[in-house]
Amino acid sequence: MDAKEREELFTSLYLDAYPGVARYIARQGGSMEEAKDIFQDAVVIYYERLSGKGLELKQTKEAYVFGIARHLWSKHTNNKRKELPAQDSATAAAPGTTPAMNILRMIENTGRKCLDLLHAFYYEQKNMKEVAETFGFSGERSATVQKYKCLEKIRDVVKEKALVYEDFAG
Amino acid sequence: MRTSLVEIQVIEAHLMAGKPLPAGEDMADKLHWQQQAYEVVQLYGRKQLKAELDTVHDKIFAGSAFWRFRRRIARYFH
Repeated sequence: MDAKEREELFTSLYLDAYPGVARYIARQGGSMEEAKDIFQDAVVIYYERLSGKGLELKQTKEAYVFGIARHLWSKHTNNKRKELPAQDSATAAAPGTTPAMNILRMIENTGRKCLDLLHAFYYEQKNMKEVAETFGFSGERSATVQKYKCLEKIRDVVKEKALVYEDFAG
Repeated sequence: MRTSLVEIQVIEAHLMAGKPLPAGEDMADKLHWQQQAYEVVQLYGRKQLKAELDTVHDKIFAGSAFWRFRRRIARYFH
């Protein structure tokens, strides 16, 4: 799916599926900002399933996204309940940040080209021929070699930075 | 392709297609960090999608074309 097709899909989901999600979250006592975040997370999951192994919907896409959103909202409220009320502000992560996000931010600054190449292959699931054309490689073979070089680079940075963000080391 | 890249290729074949993994004392470590690298790529992909979704959100919630829609959403929260 290209960017234009995604924009059309996202717009139609916003117009057709977002009202149901927003109404549900409002009734559960959530804010408009929470509704936006939950809805967007649900759409990302829907998109990944759609563009991955293929998704055979037994219901409308709006109902599917609503189902994911309801599940995410349940997780969200459970997590909120578990949060300690007096978290040490010196060690607490900023809202919405995780060690993995911090590592990603660092890699975005130093290895954006590699991230884009790996993203095209692993996330957008373009084949090697398309990757070679998009990134200007002479052929699939050299694009494949570059893909593994990039994976090695990202792996090494992640390993190095994970020592700083120990939670990510797992 | 140099040896370290072949090794990455072998680990990938193990993770994606269940191919056997050669024995090696630090193989579990390499496997772990390669999985983390895929996770970072996935996180990057999700971040890109969120940026595209934000653009659509702004188009709907800041433009003049969808005022009825916006009013309907705002009512849910009042």
